[in-house]
Amino acid sequence: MNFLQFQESAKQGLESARATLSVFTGKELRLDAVTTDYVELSKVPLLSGSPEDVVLSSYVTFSGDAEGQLMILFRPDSAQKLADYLVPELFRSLSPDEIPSLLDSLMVEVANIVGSSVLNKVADRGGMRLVPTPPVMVRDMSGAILGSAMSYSGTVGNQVYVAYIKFSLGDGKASFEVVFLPKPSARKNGLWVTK
Amino acid sequence: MPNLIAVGLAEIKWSASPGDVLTAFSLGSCVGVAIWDPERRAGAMAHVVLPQSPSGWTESMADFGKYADTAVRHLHNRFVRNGTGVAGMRVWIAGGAHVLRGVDLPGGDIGASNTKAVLEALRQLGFNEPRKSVGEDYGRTMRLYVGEGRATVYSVARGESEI
Repeated sequence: MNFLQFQESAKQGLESARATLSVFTGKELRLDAVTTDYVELSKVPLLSGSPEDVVLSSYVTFSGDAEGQLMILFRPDSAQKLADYLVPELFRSLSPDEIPSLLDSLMVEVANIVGSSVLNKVADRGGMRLVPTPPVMVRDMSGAILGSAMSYSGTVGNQVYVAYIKFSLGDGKASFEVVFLPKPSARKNGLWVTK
Repeated sequence: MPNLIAVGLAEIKWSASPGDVLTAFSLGSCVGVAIWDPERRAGAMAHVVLPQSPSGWTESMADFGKYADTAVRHLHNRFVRNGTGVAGMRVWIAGGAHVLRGVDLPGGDIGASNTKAVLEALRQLGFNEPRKSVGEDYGRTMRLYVGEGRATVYSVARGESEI
């Protein structure tokens, strides 16, 4: 799979996720921009801004014909904006201390749709089977999450592949990042994307 | 005003400037290793990503800081080359956490493996037992204040404290 093919399949996956979320919530969502690029190892903790910034991250590993990890990072303010837009009536009825856990649950669902859509399209394009684990949600410094994922990927090269997506909302923008980390062993199955 | 010097993934940085603060941001499973020479009032920090260099690794690959064994050896050799023994050094380590909690990864707990490998390498090369802020399940930022010979750790829930 070359880089262009990866870009196309990632974008198709995001478009599919957008459509699914729109149907589920009855709200019109627009996919603003998709940027896919390589990132050097040392820059990975900076993918979501300052490495000390707290993010909500959905994390899955995948196996099958290739192994790797997929993370979706939400800044708390973006997650809240997205939630307020998608299900405003639900959040209006909650007390402040109930919001974080429900926000986490909602973001797991959003991440599940986005992550599985991207993985499916990439797998289809590569003619392979990729099986994701159920997502878990982690709330911590973005750099700590991304750096840990790098360690677990066993990535020996200095480049990984990152897709950024932005959803346009009514009065503002909520942005989040999809981080796609195939294991080096995925190279033999064509999932190691090359430029 | 302190001069903050970021020590990124797999990097090693050195300083003898009293205003410098060597900083490994947001360590998760990675381990920060800080060493300070009280005679020269100079320090170094490594940001270790993985416990063990792969077979066939050679110094020409230059990514000393990525692995626990090569990072600690590189630090050791640099101090020895500068004419300083390592026995009197102050040593701190931080990180080695299991941030992706709830995930059962095939490779096991890499944070714990990184910590174990760093401690073993330090012991083998004659460094003092380090002060530690390691393990658990949260990210940390490690800072070495070069002019003062002290190290701190910061986390979102706990703020900053001396190691």
